[in-house]
Amino acid sequence: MSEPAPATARAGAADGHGAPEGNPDDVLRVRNLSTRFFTEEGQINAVESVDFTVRDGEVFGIVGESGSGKSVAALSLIDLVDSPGRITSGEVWYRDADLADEFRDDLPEAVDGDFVDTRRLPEGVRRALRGPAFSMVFQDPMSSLNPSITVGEQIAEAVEVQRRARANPRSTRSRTQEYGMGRLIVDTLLPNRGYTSESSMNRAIELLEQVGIPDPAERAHEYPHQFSGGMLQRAMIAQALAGEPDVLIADEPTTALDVTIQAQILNLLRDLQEEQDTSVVMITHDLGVIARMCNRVGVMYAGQVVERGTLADVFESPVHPYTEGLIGSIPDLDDPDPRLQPIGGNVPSLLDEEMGGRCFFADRCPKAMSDCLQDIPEYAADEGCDDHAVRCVLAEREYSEADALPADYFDRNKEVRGDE
Amino acid sequence: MSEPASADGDDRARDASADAATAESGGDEPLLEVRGLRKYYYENDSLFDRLLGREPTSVKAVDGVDLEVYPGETLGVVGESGCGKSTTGETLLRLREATDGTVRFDGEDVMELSDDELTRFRKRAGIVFQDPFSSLDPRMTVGDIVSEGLKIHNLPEESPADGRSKREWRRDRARELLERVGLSADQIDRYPHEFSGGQRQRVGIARALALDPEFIVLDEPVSALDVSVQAQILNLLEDLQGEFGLTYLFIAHDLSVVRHICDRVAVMYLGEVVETGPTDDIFESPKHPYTEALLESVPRASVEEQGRRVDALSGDVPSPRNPPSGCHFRTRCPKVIQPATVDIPQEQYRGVMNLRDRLERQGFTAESVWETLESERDTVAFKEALREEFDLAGLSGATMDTVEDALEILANGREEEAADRLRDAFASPCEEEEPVLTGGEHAAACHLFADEEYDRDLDPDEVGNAMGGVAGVEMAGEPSPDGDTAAAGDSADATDSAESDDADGGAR
Repeated sequence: MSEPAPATARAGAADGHGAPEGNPDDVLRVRNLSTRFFTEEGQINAVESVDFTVRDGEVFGIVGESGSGKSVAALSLIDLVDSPGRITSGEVWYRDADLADEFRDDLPEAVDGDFVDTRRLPEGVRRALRGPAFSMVFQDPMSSLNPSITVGEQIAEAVEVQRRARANPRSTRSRTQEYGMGRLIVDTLLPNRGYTSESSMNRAIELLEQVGIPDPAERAHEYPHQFSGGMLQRAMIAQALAGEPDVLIADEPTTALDVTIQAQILNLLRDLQEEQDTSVVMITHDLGVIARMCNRVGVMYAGQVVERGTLADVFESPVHPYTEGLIGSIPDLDDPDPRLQPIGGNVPSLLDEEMGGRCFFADRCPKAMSDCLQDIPEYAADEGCDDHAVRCVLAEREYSEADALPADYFDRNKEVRGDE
Repeated sequence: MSEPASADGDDRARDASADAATAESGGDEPLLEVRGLRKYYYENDSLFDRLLGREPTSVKAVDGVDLEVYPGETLGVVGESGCGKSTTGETLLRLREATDGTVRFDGEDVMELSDDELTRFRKRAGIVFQDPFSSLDPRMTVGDIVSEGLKIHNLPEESPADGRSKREWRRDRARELLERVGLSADQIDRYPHEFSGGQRQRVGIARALALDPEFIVLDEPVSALDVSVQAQILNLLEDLQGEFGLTYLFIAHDLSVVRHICDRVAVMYLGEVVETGPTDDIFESPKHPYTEALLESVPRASVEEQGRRVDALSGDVPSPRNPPSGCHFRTRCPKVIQPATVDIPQEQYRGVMNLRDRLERQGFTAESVWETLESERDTVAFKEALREEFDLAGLSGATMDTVEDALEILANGREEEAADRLRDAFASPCEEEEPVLTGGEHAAACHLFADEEYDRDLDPDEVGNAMGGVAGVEMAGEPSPDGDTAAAGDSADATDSAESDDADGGAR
């Protein structure tokens, strides 16, 4: 509960030796994480100086609209960002006492207490963390599973890889053996040889049963196209559980599903999380899902976490006008409010050249002031509770009409830039 | 809309007085009336299949839908994916040929229109499609997209008086429309890829407005959009409705959007309307167990929602290739009615029905259970595993004997016989015949409402008994012709009484 004053926290983390102070229950501390994509059109700042922490056995929600960078932030956590994307700065501190002891002498800057900065660890070690430390449930189960391999085999494969990795942690060889050239040739000649041992197949069936798939023994031998969307999502969760992860990252796990099936999957995720005391990072655009599942929330906009705090902080006393707007945009199921209060305009492009040194939301913000035209640091939202942080000058001062930007300020600026 | 209101219409207007839109336009005659609409798709229906002697199988996408849309109102059609709501929207505009049924638009039968008449109908009824990324031609400018309809319908009919050419007139009209939907008229020469999703959906709406329609089918117009943009579009649609007196058929899966924008709602499940009524009634006192389950499942965006555990419906939507007999929802319904001969807690009855359904429809085999057991051929463990999976522990008396019997048969690998045994003892009235929509203004297609005695507040455990008191005896056994007529008579009575109930409700 004692993160230092956020503005300085960022600075402290950036020159970074040692994990910043935090709650002792933290299992993951993300500091100043930035991910950029270097495309032909220019540099895209998909994730921009993101800070958050995830605690033991909690569900941390990341909510934002499409293009807000929430999925890329998740991929950055486990270093799965592909070219042309690159994590350009930041630290991902993960609590693992054994790993910390192992690297305390060799890489002192990557270790702080029980925490290791996975970004500074060697690539192989970082990769070995995927599975037992972090694993991910991807958004679209239809395209995330291989259509030509049975569901059971795909899960068994994950089990097998984790098993070998556990026997010999951090050996790349142990993860790839039996998947090499020799194996390929043998399999070409003997196409019916499975890739997986019977014991990992049995474990896969157990996992399928655990996630509530009926007749798991039978369904394990079916192909993804024989599963319904909800069942596939369950299979994806089973696969993610193969390594018994400490942190499960669920990227829009219910977006492709109908509401009754969504309720099943959310119940399942909650049961698993409580049973195994896993921490979950829940990424979604649906504020309802956030409300049902999460303890604490981060709201993302244009690559930044603009507001974070407990569920009550964010939903009941939001400070950032974007959070307010987001909540005002949702029709209430129990009260047909006569009029929605949408946010004007559209989500900005994240091209570097089009992002000035200002609050990224200022051009859509109903309360934009001249103070918003500078880089906005993170402020504590209210005194005495530094868990609720917000990237908005309104945390520090009241809105005043006198400082308000003229309504057409950004349109005019755009024209000027267009003329140049 | 200024026809003298018939007595019937008067009633309706009063009933719907909560709906400002309906009341304002005095919606006495429905603008659109759909009766028994069916749309089947056939598989194995090619010449080749016929040569091989394969039977064509039908997928019943829409299976007997009745709807009315009154002038100036918004009717919501809501349901899960695959329930046939989009097909309904497209079929009633004759964008797809219906298999059966009639659609009357302002008194004309849409299905019987000749080509010329159809062209005129198209001017009056438009559609906005779901996906703004694939419903706009990427090689046309938005100006051309918006004015294409005008060109096809040869508008304006005469050259404008101010000396503009028809082409210029159309272009000016496109500018006006773009401005009206919140885009800039300067963007007229841009291509769709230059716009964001919300802007494209605005173009789609401008296109639908170009011909000054009276009626627009909105097929999931906001489901591809982010919430902040979704709210803009919903507000726009409301404004346009007020300004041009439009009538909407709003297809959506998002219940909170439906609640916000619709005057009346029809809930669909597996190609059928299971409940219909004024929005407030449906959301505040849903009748059909499916509607209840839908409402229960939706996550609310508020702090009270935290940690709320939903009694989720079990299982998936059955395949429309082979929908369940009787009530389509019975395979998932938590309130499925017990036959007169059975009186057990509802969860256990649901468990028995789940086991039966798996045996009958999902190819459940005893072998798959044996595989999960460690000991070979241990019948006790086998039965225990099933009892646990299907919540069957704690049964007693004759019911327990029957279930034990069936499990024993199943353990011996005779799945069909086990299913027969269960069917004989536990056949629900819900599978005997299809429920019809009853209840007047707020109607539900559910056997729980087939007779006034089956009040929705009735303890579900007692529903079976109540059933037994009326027509359950015949229905539990072999359905005799007599039993059928009796049931039909009952339901006709029920319609009347429910309607009078409803009239009272309206007066109150």
